[in-house]
Amino acid sequence: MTSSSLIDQQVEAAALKVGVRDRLSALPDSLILEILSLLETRYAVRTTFLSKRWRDLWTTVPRLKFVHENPHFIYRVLVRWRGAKIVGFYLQLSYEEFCFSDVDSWLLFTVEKQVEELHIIVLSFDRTPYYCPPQRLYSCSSITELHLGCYCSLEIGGSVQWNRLKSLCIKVPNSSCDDAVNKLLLGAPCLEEMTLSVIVKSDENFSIRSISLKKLKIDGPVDVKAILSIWAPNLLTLVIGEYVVAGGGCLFYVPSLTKAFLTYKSDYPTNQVSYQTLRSIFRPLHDDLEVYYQILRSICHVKEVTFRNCHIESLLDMKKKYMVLQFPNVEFLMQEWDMSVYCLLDLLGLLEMFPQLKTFVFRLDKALHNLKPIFRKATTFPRAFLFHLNTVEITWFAEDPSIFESIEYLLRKAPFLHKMVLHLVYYRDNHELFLMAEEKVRSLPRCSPTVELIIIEHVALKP
Amino acid sequence: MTEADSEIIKPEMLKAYVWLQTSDGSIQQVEQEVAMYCPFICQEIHSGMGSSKNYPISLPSRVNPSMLSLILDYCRFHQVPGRSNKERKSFDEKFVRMDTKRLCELTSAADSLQLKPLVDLTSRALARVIEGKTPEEIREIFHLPDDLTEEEKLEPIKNTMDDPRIRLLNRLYARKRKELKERERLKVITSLFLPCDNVEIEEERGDERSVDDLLSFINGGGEDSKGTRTSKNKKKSRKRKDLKAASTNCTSTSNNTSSSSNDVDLNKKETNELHSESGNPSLHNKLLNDVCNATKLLDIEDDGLAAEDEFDGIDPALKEKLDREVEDFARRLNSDWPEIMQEILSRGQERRPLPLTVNGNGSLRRYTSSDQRHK
Repeated sequence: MTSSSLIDQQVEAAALKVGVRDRLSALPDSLILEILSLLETRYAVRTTFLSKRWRDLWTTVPRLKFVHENPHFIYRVLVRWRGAKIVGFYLQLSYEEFCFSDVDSWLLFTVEKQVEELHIIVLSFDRTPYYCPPQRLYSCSSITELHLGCYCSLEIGGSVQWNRLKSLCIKVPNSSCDDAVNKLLLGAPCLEEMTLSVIVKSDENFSIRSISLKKLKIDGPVDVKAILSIWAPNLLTLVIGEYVVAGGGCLFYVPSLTKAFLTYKSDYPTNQVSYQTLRSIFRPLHDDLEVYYQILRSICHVKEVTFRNCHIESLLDMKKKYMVLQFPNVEFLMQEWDMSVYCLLDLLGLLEMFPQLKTFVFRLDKALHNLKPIFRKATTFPRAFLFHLNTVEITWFAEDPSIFESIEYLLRKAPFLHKMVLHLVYYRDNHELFLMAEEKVRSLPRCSPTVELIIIEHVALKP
Repeated sequence: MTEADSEIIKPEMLKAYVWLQTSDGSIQQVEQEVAMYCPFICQEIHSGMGSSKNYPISLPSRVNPSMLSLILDYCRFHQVPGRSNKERKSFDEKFVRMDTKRLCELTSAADSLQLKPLVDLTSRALARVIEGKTPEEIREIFHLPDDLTEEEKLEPIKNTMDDPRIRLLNRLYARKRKELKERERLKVITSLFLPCDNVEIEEERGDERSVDDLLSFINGGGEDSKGTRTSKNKKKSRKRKDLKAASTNCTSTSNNTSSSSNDVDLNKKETNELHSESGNPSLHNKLLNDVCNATKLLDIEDDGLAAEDEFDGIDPALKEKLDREVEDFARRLNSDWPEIMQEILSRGQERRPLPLTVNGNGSLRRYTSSDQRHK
């Protein structure tokens, strides 16, 4: 006993010399609470065992984060929690773990504590049953970010008072949701960002009207037999999911639009239905040429456009049918590719639609990294395109020689090329291949004197 | 005005500089644009301080010289406007790779200088350190005093065993264990009862083979093997059939009136048949009879294999009853083992010798009194 206390003393003396102290506790409470609110609550609660000072420190942590906890734990935490205000409440559960009435209790608790960021995500294999949020949620005026990751049946009695809501993300399952959605929009005068997943299969019009909205993301399946209309004069970014289709037509009034993402991959749960079946029920946007043409015309003033591969065919079809399209302001064009053959020539046929194109980005879907797509090159590019070209970013495989011819052509012929970024994908044991490719590209002759060549490597598993 | 002053003092420099004083008294000269990235310093500059060596900006006490140099490195990188998000992110990642002590100090210093982006960055790094570690580990890393009493430390663990869910789970596990044990014993029974080539009891394969063997044994070995059906369902239903067969045998031998409640359709007429056949010979003869009946059952049921699916939907109450009956039968079989073996051997001598398999329980009980028949 005595020997160990002697050692303790020595250790302490040494520590004092070096100046080692309890660094973490030297931080002020507010900082510690900030750090704790970055953790999942189950770890934050454990700090009660650290020392006397930390006993009740966690009870005022401003953000609560529960990921796959059992409901009893959540109740216990909420009973002990004694802060004045909840800044963030984040809940992620899978459907088997709880029942919706529990979520009601927790939600009401947070609403009472003036919650600002509320995220409730329910993981389940299918979208039923639907969650019906309590009425008091709609009159919660403190909320700034609401993210309900499960299909909600919106039954709004009275008006919505989301005066400070800036960001909304909801999923609405039924066809009479148009009213409900517009009620929400009316009640959220400051709403800037909205992500909406709707399942609409009806003959009714579906419309979204908001003055304040700056970014809108719509996901389907939307099969409105009548008209899909978006009236958002201040909208800057529009993202349309792949299952959005409007049988009767589209009316987009989006004069301020600068960025358009046409069809991103939907996260609609497709594990019960095959992709083909889904496609047969809900025809994707670009299949209906008339409607697609309408949409493109109403957004033709954008500056940045992102297409997925499926659009190229539709665009070519439109060209054949003399449906004229021009994107006079587009300076940035991005293509996300997830099919196994890429024919550059197709794209070149469409380049005249983009007279001001300065930046061209071609991105390959990650899933394709393990396959072997084919690149059908083109050796002539339209002159106007080359003259405007400022930045190019291409993703392809290091071992495929056909890409190099096109790259070489671009480098040789684009006089104002400022930056070229090449993402070269190579298989794990072929690093030399990548190095060879890199060397080769760097040695190519360049027309523009100031071009900056950036080569980034991506490793893929062998197919 | 500030700019003019500094320019007079250092006319050859194109950049503006400010003077900063740390808690230990040392004074540093820093480019103004870099220092301005910190809101605290920015405020001080606007209120006129820091323009000359004699009037340096005195930084809060939490900022020591080493921390100051780190912070200035951070500012120097981020105040350049042309950097892409990716570049900033990778810089940040490399920047926070330091030991936790310095991380705490840096957080403290950045907080006092109101440099929110750096505070966020270091807080996230500290959170990553704390995440997932036990309190002991955290105490060790940060040198926190271990001043809780033992009672306080054990508080939450004391009462957890009383959790009703844990109680329910324990009950379920006990039940499961019991079921598994029964199944084991039944497996042993079927392997003994129906000769197999291998001792290894691989559940489904053993089942199929045993039926084959049984059929060929009973029917003179010329019967086409019906065991070529390889679908798992069929195997499972075959197993169920064995259970059923065993249970019906059990019921017939024990003459349980409750056996008639065996209301699975396919068995109904067979049960009647069995009842008619079960006479009053000695127990082991009866059992052997039942073996034959069982195979007849199996034989008949083979044709009705398609309708087997309803077996899978058996309700738990019935299943439990069957399990009980099986256990009963198994127990009795176990006790009569030697005599049964004799009989089987004598009968099957011309065909092939039966390997003796050891009872799963590891015991071959000698059954002396046949009076201890369970009736």
